[in-house]
Amino acid sequence: MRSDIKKVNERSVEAFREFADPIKHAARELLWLPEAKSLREKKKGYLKYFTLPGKWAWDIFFFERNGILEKQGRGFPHVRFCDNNRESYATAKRLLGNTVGKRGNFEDVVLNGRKEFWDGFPYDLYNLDFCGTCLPDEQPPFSDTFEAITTIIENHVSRRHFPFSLLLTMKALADETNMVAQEELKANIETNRADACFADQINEAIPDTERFVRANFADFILISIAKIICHLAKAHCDVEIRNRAKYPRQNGAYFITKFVFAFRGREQRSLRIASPMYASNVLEAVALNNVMTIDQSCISREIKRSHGELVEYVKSKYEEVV
Amino acid sequence: MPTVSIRVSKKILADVSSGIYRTPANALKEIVSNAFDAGAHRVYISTNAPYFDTFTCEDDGEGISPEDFKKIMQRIGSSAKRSRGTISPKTGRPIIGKIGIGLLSVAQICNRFAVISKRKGTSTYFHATVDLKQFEEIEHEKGYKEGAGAIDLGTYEIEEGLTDEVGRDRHYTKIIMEEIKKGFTTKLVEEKTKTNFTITQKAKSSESFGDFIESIKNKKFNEISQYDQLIWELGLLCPVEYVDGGPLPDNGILRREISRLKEYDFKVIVDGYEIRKPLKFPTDTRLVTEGPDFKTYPYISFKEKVDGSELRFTGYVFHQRTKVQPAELQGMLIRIKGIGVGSYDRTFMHYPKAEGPMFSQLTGEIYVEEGLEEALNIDRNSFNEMHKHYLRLQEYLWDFLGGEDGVFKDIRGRSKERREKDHAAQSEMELRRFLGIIGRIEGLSINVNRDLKREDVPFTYDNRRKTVTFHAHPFWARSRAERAMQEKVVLAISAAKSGASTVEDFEKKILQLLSRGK
Repeated sequence: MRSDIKKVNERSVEAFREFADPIKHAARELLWLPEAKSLREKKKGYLKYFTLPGKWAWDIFFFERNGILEKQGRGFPHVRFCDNNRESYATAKRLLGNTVGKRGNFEDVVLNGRKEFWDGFPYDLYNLDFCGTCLPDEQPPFSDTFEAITTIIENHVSRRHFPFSLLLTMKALADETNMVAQEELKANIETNRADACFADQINEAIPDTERFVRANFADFILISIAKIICHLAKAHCDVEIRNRAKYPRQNGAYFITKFVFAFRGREQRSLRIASPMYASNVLEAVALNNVMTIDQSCISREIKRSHGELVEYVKSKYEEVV
Repeated sequence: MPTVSIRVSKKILADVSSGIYRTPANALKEIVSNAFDAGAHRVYISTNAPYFDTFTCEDDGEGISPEDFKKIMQRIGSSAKRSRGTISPKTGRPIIGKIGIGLLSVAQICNRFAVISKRKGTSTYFHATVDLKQFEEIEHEKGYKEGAGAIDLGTYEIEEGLTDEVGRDRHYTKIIMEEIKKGFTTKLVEEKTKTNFTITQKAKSSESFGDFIESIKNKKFNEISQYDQLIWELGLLCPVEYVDGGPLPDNGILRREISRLKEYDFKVIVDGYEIRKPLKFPTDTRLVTEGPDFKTYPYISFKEKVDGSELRFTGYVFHQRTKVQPAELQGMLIRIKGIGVGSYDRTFMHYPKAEGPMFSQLTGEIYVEEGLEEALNIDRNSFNEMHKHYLRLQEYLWDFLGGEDGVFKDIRGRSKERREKDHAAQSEMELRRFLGIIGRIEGLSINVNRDLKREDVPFTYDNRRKTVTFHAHPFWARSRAERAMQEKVVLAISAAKSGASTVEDFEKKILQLLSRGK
């Protein structure tokens, strides 16, 4: 059996390849940047940012170069990050100077009240770029990840800090996704099907849930995760699914799925299960025609250029050391 | 993955338990020393300020093999000492210390750490996770403190043959320290608010170490935060370059030392700061703008066989008329192969005589190139003061300071000279004032010359040119004050003589002038 360290190490190498990939960069340009820019415009200033940057902190440098994040001499004063992998954490810390970080996983950092996260709370933009799935086998069906996201949303409400956005990335691979969770999500689709509000759209998009999940696991994740987030938010605030995308990995063995959610405050809290906003969110989640599939054709000359520049920039940060 | 015990000799453990590192910087310095020995050019330290919950250190040295790591962990402190006085053939640097001691310093900082290292020329690396026992646990173990031998310090797990994304060309060692010991961080954490305001906004947002030093320059040490002290002290102790323009006003005599540090190309970056030796003398800039009142003494250079082994060092002593600030720079700092030992010794190795304020006006560094290492205590921050090399260095320093042509005598001489100069300037001012009085009362303008050629008269007066010339003559008092009075009388006589028509008139004028000129 492979050791934990070995597993973490393999993931780290894989993540490095993933981060440096032009397809991933296209996703940064096409999904993340427009959202970050619009948020920056609304806030009229640099954003407060929380991220899981991985070893080389690509996203931080990407947003820095695009004027989203403020860089002061030694680091990023309004950025906080965490990384569970000791080696990645050390390298990210080195690259990011005196930017505050926490060696630990996202769920622990949020749910166990770690100062490194909560002292900087609330943030304008969260980037939860997971290498794996948000519904792992080793966790309960409603995973700690969603527990943590719920905690964040609730605290935004209590601090009345809106708008804020969430960039979520996760792997869509059936074998690595909690079976109980999968069953619950399927059952949830069936429940929606039984609801007159959604029946037509569900029947059109997913005539047969089992077959749909087997054939289009990535789409199943794109629908289900979007629905979960909207469900988590519905009692507290309004949420908008701003964007969703997928791209294949390892010749289609699995997909990376990406989500952009924008949260807005609500004047009066409503605990109605199907608020008008929620209902439209479910319809939006089920509609797959708005999901972007990122492939080579998306890599425009402009994206290619900006990718090349980012790679050079990150490398130069690294070369300063080695 | 098997769990392996870490053994440490009891003697060393006793030292560890008493907390051998006086300051956080002293402990971190050992890790930096290891990186220096490993040929690193860049060392990145992160404290995760203001939380100080995880410390990381990453260097680009040649790395350590898993076999060597295991050997060290088998028996910390008894690991083969690198041969004394050696220079690394690869880097041309002196080899500073023991890897085991470096790891021991990590044990002082935290209860758990990971070492990740990749050797030059290999494609794989290892990752070891070390768990150390709480000292209280060890204390309860039977046989602790009894006799020689070793005791379990904790355990480690090691995973070898891992691959990374950077390939064969890269080599490094990363140390990730977690569960930081309370004693180590309590002060740092408690003072986190202080950290935020002691350094100026400019320094906070700047990556220039110069700005940092500038912002704390005129502060006393108790006015700056523990964190700022950590950065400052680490700069002081590590074999990094001096701040620009430091340490001396004229670095001519330190040319070799400075270029050696440059050649090492060794940079330590702490939380984004590239730290430097924070030394730039004189620390009182008035001493530069208001006329130099400082001195660098002749370069120290010593080489001798002491008790059969070589002791070789160089260094400098610098004096400034006002106190050296911060007070932590007063005294002598001994560096062994570039690494500072402890802190500045304000007693000048227990100098036996009281020299009053002169102690606070002196600073200096001794660069030991060969020897003295044996005299280092296990903490590597203090000396066995009975060691022959220590005693010889002490003797040399005392003589350098207090000998016949020593520093203290010179300072006294310069001080006397300065006093005389000050007095002379004051007398001259007095004289000018008196000439003004003569001008106002007598309407007379008298010129004064000083002709130091010996004459048989103390002064001459040229009535036509209205000029008084003072000559060197035994008539003049040695005391500046008395002489000033004498000169006034002479001027009064000359002025009265030139304007008086009768003896009574002459007496009246003299009395009038002298009473006004008191």
